[in-house]
Amino acid sequence: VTEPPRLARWLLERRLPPDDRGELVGDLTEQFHRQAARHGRARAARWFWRQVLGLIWGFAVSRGGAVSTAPQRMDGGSAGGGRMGGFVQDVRYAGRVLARNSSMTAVLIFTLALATGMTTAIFSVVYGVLLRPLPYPNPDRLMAIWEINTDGGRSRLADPNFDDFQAQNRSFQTMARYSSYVTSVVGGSEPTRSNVAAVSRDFLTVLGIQPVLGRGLTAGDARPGAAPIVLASYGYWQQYLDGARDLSALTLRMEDRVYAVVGVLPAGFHFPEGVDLWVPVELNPGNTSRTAHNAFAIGRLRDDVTAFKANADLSAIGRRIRQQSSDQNTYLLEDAAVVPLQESMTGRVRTPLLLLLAAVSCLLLVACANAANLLLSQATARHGELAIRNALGAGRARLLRQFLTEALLLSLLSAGAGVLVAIWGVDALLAMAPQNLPRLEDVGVNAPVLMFALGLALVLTAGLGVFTAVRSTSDRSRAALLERGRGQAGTQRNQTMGRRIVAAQVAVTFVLLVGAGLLGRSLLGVLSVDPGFRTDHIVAMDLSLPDAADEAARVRQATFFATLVDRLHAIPGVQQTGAASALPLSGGLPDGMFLLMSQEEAPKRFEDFDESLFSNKERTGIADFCVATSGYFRALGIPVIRGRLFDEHDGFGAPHVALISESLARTRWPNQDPLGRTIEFGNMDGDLHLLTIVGIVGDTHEGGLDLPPRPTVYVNLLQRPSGRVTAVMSAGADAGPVMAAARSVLHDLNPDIPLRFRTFSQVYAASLGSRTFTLAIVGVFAGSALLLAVAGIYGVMAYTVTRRTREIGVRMALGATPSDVLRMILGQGMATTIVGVGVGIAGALALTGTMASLLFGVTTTDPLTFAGVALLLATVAALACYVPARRAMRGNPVAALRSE
Amino acid sequence: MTRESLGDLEHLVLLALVRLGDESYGVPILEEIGGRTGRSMSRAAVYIALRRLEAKGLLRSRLGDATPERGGRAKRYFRITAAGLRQLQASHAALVSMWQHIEHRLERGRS
Repeated sequence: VTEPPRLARWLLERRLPPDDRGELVGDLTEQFHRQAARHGRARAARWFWRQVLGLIWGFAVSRGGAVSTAPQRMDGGSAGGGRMGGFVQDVRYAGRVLARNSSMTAVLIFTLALATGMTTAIFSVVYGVLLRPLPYPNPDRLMAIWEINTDGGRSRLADPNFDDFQAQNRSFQTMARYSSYVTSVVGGSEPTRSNVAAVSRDFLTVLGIQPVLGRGLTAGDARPGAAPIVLASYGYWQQYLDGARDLSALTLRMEDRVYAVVGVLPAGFHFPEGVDLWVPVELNPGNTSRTAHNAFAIGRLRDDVTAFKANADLSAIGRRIRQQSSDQNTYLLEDAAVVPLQESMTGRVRTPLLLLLAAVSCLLLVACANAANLLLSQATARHGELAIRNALGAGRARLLRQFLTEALLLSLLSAGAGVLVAIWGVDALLAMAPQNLPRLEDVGVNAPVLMFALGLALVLTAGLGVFTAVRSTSDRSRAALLERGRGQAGTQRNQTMGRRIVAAQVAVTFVLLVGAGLLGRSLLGVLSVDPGFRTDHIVAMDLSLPDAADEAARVRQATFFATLVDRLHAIPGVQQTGAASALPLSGGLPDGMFLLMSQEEAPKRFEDFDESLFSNKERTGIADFCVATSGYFRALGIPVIRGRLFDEHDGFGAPHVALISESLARTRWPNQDPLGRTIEFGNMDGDLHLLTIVGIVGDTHEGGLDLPPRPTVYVNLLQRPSGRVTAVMSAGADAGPVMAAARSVLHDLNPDIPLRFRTFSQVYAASLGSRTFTLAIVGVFAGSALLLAVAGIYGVMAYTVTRRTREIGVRMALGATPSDVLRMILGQGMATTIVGVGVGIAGALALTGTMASLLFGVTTTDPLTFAGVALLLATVAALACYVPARRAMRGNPVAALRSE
Repeated sequence: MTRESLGDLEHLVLLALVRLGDESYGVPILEEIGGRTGRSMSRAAVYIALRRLEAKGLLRSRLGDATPERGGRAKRYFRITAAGLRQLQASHAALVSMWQHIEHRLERGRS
């Protein structure tokens, strides 16, 4: 026996008015059977479904339509008020209410859309960077492996230590190490300066990445003497290798070695961040030192091992290495740690991003408070309507439902507009995001983000709807309304509530402003730091040459740099020219341990090093290592404190000389003269010539303006050439022509070296990037919150004044002066503000502690910031109260009384 | 009872009742209107029109027998009332008088 589709029948029973149901279902069933007999069951079933849906829709629409002419149906108790019909009717009614108060609705939607939009935008960044799983298979199994140094901080792995971790651990399926560097790449359609990662054999296996073309890394590639191969990123392959399907003929030359391109990795794969080419790390002999921290390491956990257990496992291995190693110095690892890779990649930005999320949540709260206040005042105005509907039989539940529907409509409209704001906001955020924010390619308005926006809208609905509904339909409130006389009990209550909301708003705004204030003071603090070098009118040119393999190559390189500096110096407008292995503020210098040594002790070969010397504190020192020319100090304006800079006598064959920074002189040789002393620092660049200290130069804030200057040893680029250098030119005039001229100079010398130009002001600005980013965003939020709070205060006070017109009239008739009235209204507004500021101070004291790591030169309880913000809030609040207060003061008492 | 005129669909429904006589319940009414006018009627609209006409007192309804092919549901039979008939006649008269002396013009207009 054929039966109509069950689900459709069930729907029909559910949705139809009960007294029509019987014959309707009967008619449909009868016709279904005829359809089935004529056209078969399937077609009949489809026909049945169409009829059912049409019926439900038709009834729902007509019931809603009927309501507009028949207000008594509003109570929902009419026989035909099915649930579906009731809902549609509520939506229509809510739509009409919102449309009737169009200006208020516009303000509400604007406020809420802006707030939900900003929240959604910030959430999308937080989600993309911090929460979204890494785009690799089973990302929760991916771990980063770190050495823990004597300070308790994380550091990279020394090669032998990595080998021990790999061989001895019982927690990982596979492990890989990698390091990345910038180098010149020739062989594609044009020479590039690319990020290249040297990775160990299992690198792709750990991440679970398969090449989209060609092959990945094999054991053969890692064997000693294997032919060099390279894997290209999808983007590099498309752009510089013309997307050729046939890889067999493709080669790339880097550092004087020719690599066969054997594979292309999937689009979007860039690990480590920014890398375009991957080569086997085994091509170069590993460094046997246990204190040369060169490699990052990642591993994929076995299925049955937790990160916690893996951490214990590696920690034990690390501590064993520490105990058994012969070179017991500060640079030897103390311990080891296993950290989820995602956390390891994003740990740095966690605090600032969560701070932004907290800030935007505060803004959302303030916006909601405004919305709540608006809805509340509107609810007061609607008392009459509610009373009528109540009298016509609408129960409290029915009215609650109506309010919820209104809130739902409002929230959905706001969320819709909010998503538009978010799309725009995410673009804006990405445009201004600092370069060091990882995973930006994962940020966007995607499904989870949209879900978030929708969820936010629903929470707002629940919050605002329940709040206003409960406030305006409570029995006391209704009873009071029904009197509708001069008693204003209900409005009095709502006014008290309104003032509480405003106080809360002021409190939250206070917290936000304090946060912004502290960040602002920190930025000012950083800006007022004397970096130790000039930052204006400096053009920087990054270039990288192959590392010199032998003595002859070193001579050639030294000559090349000497020529380059001379030629650059000849460019019109260039005053000083120099070069160094790294610019200040752009990533920091390598650091290491040097040895005080006399000429007689100097080893000829690394094997002859007396390792025990490194454990003798009398003989060692720690410093950053920088390779520079004397022109570098002149161009950047780094002063010579004592002694001299490098000069023409310090040629390639001459005894090697070094300059040290003031802080190194002070800390390593207190009350002694460092000039003339000889040190061995060959562990940094492989050149064992002893260095004679010939000068002391000024400190620079090398690593960042907010970090203390680091002790630094400078060696002469013309004696100890380095492959990767930045040439600097101080040029008074326009940077553009200087860059063009420098480009052609280099092209003359060697057309295969790709260049990157920057001005030092750019470097300087970039070093402040994350600080200005956080400040700008928190600042915008705090400013918006302030505006909303002011609007809130104004709104409530204006409303109070309107409500109290009669009372004020009586007072003035009885002899109150206008200034009495002004004082009364201002007093009331300011009392609210002061309560809010008080709560805000408490809240800020409780919360600013979390942002301690982002501050510089200012404490989390900085009294100046707190006082300044309190004053600011009090002032704008006073202004916001003054406007309505003046209106009250100027009111005509007679007119006011008569109007009642 | 106000003398408001019939809506288009109400008009059709009442006419269907007259044509169908004793056999006027949901299915035949829908088929009669659909079959004769060639218009695909919204089922909900027809049912709603039926209820509205009943509320206006222009038709009466009673529940009939339940048959197995209806899934055990009763039929609701409708019958036009005297008021309904009067309303139909009034509508008809109004339409006829409006049509008087213009047929030829429409004919000519068409040719």
